[in-house]
Amino acid sequence: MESIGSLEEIILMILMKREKCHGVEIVEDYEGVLKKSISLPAIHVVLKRLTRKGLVKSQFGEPTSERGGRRKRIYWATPAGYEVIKELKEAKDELWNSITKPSFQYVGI
Amino acid sequence: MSGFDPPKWPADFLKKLLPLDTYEELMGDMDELFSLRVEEKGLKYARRRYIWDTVKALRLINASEVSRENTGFILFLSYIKTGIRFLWRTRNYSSINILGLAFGITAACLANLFITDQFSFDRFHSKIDRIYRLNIALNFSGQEEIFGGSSYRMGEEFPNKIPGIEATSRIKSGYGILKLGEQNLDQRFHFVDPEIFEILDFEWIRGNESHFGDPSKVVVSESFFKKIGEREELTLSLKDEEKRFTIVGIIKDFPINSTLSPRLLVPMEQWITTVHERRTTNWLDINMNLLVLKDENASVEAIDGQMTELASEGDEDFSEGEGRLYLHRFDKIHSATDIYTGNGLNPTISEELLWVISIVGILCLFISGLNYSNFSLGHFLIRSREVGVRKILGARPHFVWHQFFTETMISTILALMIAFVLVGILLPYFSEFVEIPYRYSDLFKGKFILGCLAIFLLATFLSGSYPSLILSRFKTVRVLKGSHKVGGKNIASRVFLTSQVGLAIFLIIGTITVNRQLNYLLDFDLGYSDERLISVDLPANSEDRLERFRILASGIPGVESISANSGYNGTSLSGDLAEKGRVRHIHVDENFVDQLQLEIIEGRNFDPALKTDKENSVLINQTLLNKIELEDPIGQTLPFSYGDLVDPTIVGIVRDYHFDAPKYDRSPLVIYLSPQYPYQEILIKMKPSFSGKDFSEIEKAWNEIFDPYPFSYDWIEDSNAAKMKAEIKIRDIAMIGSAISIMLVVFGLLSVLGTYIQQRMKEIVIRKINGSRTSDLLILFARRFSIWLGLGFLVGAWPAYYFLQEWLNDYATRVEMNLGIAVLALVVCGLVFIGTLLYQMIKISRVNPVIFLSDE
Repeated sequence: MESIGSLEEIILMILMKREKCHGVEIVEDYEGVLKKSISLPAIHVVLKRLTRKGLVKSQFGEPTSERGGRRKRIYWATPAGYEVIKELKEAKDELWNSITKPSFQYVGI
Repeated sequence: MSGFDPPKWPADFLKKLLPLDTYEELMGDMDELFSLRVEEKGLKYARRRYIWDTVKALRLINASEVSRENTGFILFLSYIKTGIRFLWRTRNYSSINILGLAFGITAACLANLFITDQFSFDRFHSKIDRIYRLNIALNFSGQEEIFGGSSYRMGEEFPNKIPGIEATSRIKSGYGILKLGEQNLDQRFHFVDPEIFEILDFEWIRGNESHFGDPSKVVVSESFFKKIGEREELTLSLKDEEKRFTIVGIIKDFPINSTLSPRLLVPMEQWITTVHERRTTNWLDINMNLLVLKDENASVEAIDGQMTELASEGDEDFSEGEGRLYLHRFDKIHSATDIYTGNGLNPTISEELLWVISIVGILCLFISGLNYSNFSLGHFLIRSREVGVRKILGARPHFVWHQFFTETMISTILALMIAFVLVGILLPYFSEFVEIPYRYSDLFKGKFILGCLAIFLLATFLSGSYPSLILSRFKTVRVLKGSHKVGGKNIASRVFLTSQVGLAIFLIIGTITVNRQLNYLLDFDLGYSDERLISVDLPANSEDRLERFRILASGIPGVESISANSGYNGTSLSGDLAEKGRVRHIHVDENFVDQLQLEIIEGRNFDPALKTDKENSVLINQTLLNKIELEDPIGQTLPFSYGDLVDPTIVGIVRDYHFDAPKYDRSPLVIYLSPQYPYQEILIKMKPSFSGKDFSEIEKAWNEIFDPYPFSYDWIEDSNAAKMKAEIKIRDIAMIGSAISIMLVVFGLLSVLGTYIQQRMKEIVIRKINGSRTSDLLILFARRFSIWLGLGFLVGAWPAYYFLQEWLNDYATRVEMNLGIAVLALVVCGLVFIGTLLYQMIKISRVNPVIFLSDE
């Protein structure tokens, strides 16, 4: 199984939520959910890395006038990508469930 | 859309850096995001983020997933592939051509090795750019003669009186007898000033220069130290006076590319003890060399002027004779063979040889490049379709140009590899030939490699530029329509053919004439007999002992005759004829003329019985007679005076003979018996039946009379040959070089003609099918070729004649140019023509003519 970083994980999840989307939509979702700004190229780098790992596929779409006649590249997650996220999620859930809640340590008393 | 546009420059900037598809995607996303952000948070924010994204985008330069649109590299790979395929398809002709190119590059590389070595001559001294040797130019009746020499006095005065001179050191060769136990050895050495250690670079093995000032201390080289058995002291006999010296320093021997090779350095003070005092005060006693270290900022011209001025003040003769002193760069003296010098600073390689080697190297490279050009152009037809298709698919002219350059580069690289192997194989023979012991490590020196790189680029340029230019410029449509006469190709190949013929004719005529001339020089009439003649130097002030030696030696069975002479000296005529320039003169004994078998063409030889002959008679040579224009010269007086010999009577005319190196013009000569100049040389003629035993007897007689001077002798025949050594070298190099270049040029002619005829195969086949006989075809093509042959002959023969005439004029005795050689050159070219034609004809008769006809 491919190991992925947390930014890769989040972007993969956004992709899965949208099913098919391009870079701008990922930026919007990321900034909307995490309340943090991110640079577009950072997203592109991650997408390329995921492509190389075989977790994401992409294809050029049709040129649109709003982008000055440039084409969008549309990304979607592969089954392998889905599996990676699913396994990661289950592992995290298992860990989360084993944490004693609430513990005094964390509530700052 | 918001109506606000993002800044323009990030797009231009990123376009240059990013792979094309990454750029398209990213810029699209960025523009989209920009307009969204303008709506959400305003223009300023959007713009700031946009720029920030641009900076961040630099990460994407290497993060490419899809391969870049790197057309240049992909095209380059494709050029290499087609190039190799093409070479393989035409492997017969291309291997000839690549081999030819390899020969050319080999010759150029060897020349490069030789020349870089020559230019590194003496350059190992760290201050070489400031080191000079003093030269003196003296005016003899309108003719300036240059000597690489100076006087003791100059070395004494100049460093103190001229501010631009940092240091000077005199160098004077000395000669003494080295006593090694029982053995006596002739030993040459150098008298020097201590400043020499400041001027030149010495590597000390032991000791240093600080003790050198003491007259009894010497410095020796490592090899000399070994030769004397590693003794700390040595005994040297100078002018019959034995002196003991202590060795205070041992230096490493100088490398081979050094003019000076010091073995034993003795302080200058020792020289003063061996000579008369006036030799140290006379300004114009030119007998030693002066090395000058110039101050960094001083100008050479200023120093020249100051030196000349000081010398003129010191000696009136100097200023009257319009003499002048000047500095000669130290690293240039090794090739200045025309300047007379001595004192261990002799030129080693003549500039002429340097030139010949460079010219041969460049010529070979040039011819092989030209051959390759012809070859590529010849195969033009085969490639024109390919180029046409490439052009239709969008190749621009410079792409085609790149393609053919790349292909040429492949051939040159192959040729270079072959050439390196050849250089490796030939290096030992080459170094034996030029008498410089090159090592393989010399092939890895920076300058040599740099030179080879230049040769490689030049070869590629010579062989590739013209064909690729032609190929890239022709009209596409016409090729594809099947018309083969494109882009002035016919004119080009005719020009090439003509120039190739011209070059062949030039080279053949040149080589044969140069070789004839050099052979003639090496084997020509000296005007006297040097057979079985040996020369022995007579020790100074020993004329009284000479007679005793003469009596003893004449009794030895192998000795035919003995004579003595003063060597050839120079002066000018007196009286009205003083303007006529210099004459050489020699004091001889009565055996001299007979021994050398000089021919008396008028008058008589000296008669020892006549008292007047011994005192006041001279023989003169033809050249002098022509110069003074005397009619009926016998019995007349000659306006000549030397010592007590004043206005002597001419008793005979001697046929000219060569007492100098044969290249020089014959000089006017006066021969006399009158003892005006001491004898310095004994000539002994051996009988044809002499044996080694005779030499040991001569040596015995010598030791009995001239002890402690050891007996040493030279064969005159050998030293005459040695004087011609440079000429022999030049002849050999010219011969080898021109053999290679003739071979190359014939190769080229062959392949050009071959391809020319190949392109006319269809015509030939149709003619044959319609009933032409081979002989008809031969006549037809011979008629076409004869025009080019004639043109090529004019192009080649005229410059050959012109240059050779110039060159021959340098020589006093020379061969005449003759028409036979030109005809021979023409015949060789004609034979190559007919041979190629016949070969192609035979080829046609053996294959099915349909092959040539079914082309379209």
